[in-house]
Amino acid sequence: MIEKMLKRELLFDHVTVSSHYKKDALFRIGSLCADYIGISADEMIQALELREHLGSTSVGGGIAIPHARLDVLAEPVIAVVRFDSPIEWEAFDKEGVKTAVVLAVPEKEGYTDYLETIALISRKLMDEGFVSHLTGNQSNEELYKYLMATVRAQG
Amino acid sequence: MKIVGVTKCPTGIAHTYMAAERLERTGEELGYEVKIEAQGSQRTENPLTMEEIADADYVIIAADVTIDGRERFGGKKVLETPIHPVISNPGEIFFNLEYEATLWDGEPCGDEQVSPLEKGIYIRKDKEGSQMLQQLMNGASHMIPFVVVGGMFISLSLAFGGEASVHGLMIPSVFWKKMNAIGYLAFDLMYPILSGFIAYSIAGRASLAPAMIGAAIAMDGEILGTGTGTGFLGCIIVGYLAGYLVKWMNSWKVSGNIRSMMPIFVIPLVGVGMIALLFVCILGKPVAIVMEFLNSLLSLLSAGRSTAVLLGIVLGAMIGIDMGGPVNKVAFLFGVASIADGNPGIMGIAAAAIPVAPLAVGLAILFDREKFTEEEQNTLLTTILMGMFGISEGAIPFATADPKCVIPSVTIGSAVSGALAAVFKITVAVPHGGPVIGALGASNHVLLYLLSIAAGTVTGAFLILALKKQ
Repeated sequence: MIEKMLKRELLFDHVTVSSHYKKDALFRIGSLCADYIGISADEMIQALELREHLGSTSVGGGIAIPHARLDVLAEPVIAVVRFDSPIEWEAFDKEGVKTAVVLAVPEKEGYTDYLETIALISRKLMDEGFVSHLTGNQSNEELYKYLMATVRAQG
Repeated sequence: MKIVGVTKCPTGIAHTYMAAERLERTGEELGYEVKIEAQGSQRTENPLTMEEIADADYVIIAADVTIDGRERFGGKKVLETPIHPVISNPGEIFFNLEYEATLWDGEPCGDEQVSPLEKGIYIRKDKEGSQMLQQLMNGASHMIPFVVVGGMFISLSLAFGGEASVHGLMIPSVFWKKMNAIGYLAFDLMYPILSGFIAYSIAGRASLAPAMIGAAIAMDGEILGTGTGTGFLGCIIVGYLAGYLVKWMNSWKVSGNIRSMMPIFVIPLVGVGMIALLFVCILGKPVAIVMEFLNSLLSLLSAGRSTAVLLGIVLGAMIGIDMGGPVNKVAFLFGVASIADGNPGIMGIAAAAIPVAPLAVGLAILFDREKFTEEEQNTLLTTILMGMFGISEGAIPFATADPKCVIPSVTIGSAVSGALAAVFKITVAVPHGGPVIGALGASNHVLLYLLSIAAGTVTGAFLILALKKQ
């Protein structure tokens, strides 16, 4: 399942944002992902912002998990966006976010297997070893291999 | 220490699981036994069982939206928190547990008004009685509002709109006639609600359709081919059957595609089919016969004067002996069932006996303050009020302080009221007790009803004063 959801093309490194504001970061995330997935960037950005309004998706330690449900999406998608400089994400630990694990899920019901994978990754975010890999200086290639191996080992 | 918990976030995709993971890890590091139910958007991971909830010392609810199944935690010490503090500082949640957890003394839902009656049922949910009794009580407490509406609408429409004619009691006015019909509608609904929520407490949402439709089948003499329905007995059986059937079906190992179809397609269809088959082919007939036998036995007992007295004494004593405990509830449920089966005399007995314990204690204090502690004297007003509103539990503090004196006295007093209500053929159309029911016009003869209560109260108070040491 993870092979379908996590594409090497959706790991982004050294992403620059025009400011250190969350709004601009979300704009950047939406543009980067939507292009590859083939959906409207506006729609994705809007959905991500809507979720942030319900409460910051920052999980501390420089990581955030912006996520959204999108009816235009055919299959759930995971992307990892690593920023050049920290973004102010209203984190409870006041730390700027350097890594965003983006989760996009179709609006309609089903996809239980996908959601289980996302649940697994969410649980993993509570693991310090996993987090240090996400925020470390690995190349996209290395990170991709690490994520695949981790999820497969658990699944 | 054992801790259970539930996590739920608005989208149910990520934070639900992160919070669950945090609580599990932190709790285990601190040396607790922890199980966390993660209510995701499509599936609940690690659902808590009734046993686990019953065994737990504390409950942690970490949620930004209302969780499913709040009513499960009645009678537990519960700490409620938003998701974020759990993720940022889980240790603090555990350290503060002891100080910040509040006892949900039976309120099944935080924001809903709960009648003292339901409270009585819920308070004992985890302490006494087996799991089966808890499940029955869950069904009964959800059913009670329907019985109240049905009973009140029917008795009011008959009292104000009914006219005796050669064809029996007729309702000429359109208004009262419609109100009467609506009352019967409520009675028709209460059976599925009873079965549905017995099943719900066993196997959750997916069991509602099999149980509720199953109950409607069990009440339909035509479908069953028995002429009459299977009444309360049948509906209780349906509730348990549907609950355990769905619980079993939920344990099936099925692949991903079918799994998402299970709760909306497979379980309802197969469940209803199996319950229907079982009732139409096998169970319907014998249960209907037993039910008919019980009903005729009850009418027979309440018809003869001496047997009616016996019935009144037994039921009244049951109501009084544990003041809202399991024995009381069994007698009470007996009364509730009889309202819907057109035998409200049984409820009349229960309703007259219910207020006796607190009223007798109150009256005893009024007569002779000296025999009670200052603290006890101060509760005089609330005790009498609880009696007036039909809450037997009001006498519990006195019974705990001096059981040898209070329990036999109020039991005998309650039996006296029950016996008199049986002799006077008092009927009560709503599942509640106390003078307040008379004031609401739900009994057939207010004066005799109040007289029955008064006689038991005086007897009880007299016995308390006689048995009480200075």
